[in-house]
Amino acid sequence: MAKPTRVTNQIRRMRFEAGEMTQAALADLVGVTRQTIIAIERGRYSPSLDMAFKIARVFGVALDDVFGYRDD
Amino acid sequence: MTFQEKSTWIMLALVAAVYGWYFAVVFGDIVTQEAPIRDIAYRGMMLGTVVVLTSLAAATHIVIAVASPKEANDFDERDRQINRFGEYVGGFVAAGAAFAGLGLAMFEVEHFWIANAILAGLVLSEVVSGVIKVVLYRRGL
Repeated sequence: MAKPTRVTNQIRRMRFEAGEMTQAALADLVGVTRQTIIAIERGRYSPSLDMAFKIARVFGVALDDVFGYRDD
Repeated sequence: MTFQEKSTWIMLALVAAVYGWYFAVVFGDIVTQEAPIRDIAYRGMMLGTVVVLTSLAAATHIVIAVASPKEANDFDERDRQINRFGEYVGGFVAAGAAFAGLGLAMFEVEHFWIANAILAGLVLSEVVSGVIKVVLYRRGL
């Protein structure tokens, strides 16, 4: 099992709250592959600042409502 | 699996198969026959493998693009980062191959060995690069 990144996220919860938006739908809105959304949700990939802003904008929230940073 | 990941797996498999076959045949000849190495017709085979590899790569990529046309042009930032890191590490191996060829040339070793040492290094760099990309796709970046 790969070590997860320090960047945490609430994407799964936010998708659920946004009418159970699918990973594929979010990927289309952000302009990435579904696999990249999966990798971010599972903590296997830290998105660029650009992509992080795009994801936050899809949900209409601030960046740190979606993403956090673990201090360990 | 993204188009880029499929492409990485395919190239890794093709390079391993085509050059595995090439080195097995060329060096198999050296081991099993007593012909002087300069007499082995490796040049045609070496150039032939490039043509075969390119043709197989084009054909297989057409097949996977036709199978999922929507994904065929997908190349996002994660693909780009994985590709860059794989190529970066592979570049060191390719540089090692260049130095190996340089060293062999300095010592005036047979052309056969120089050519094959460089080719082996280039193949190894492709394999290392491909394995790193696959691991990053599977385990995370």
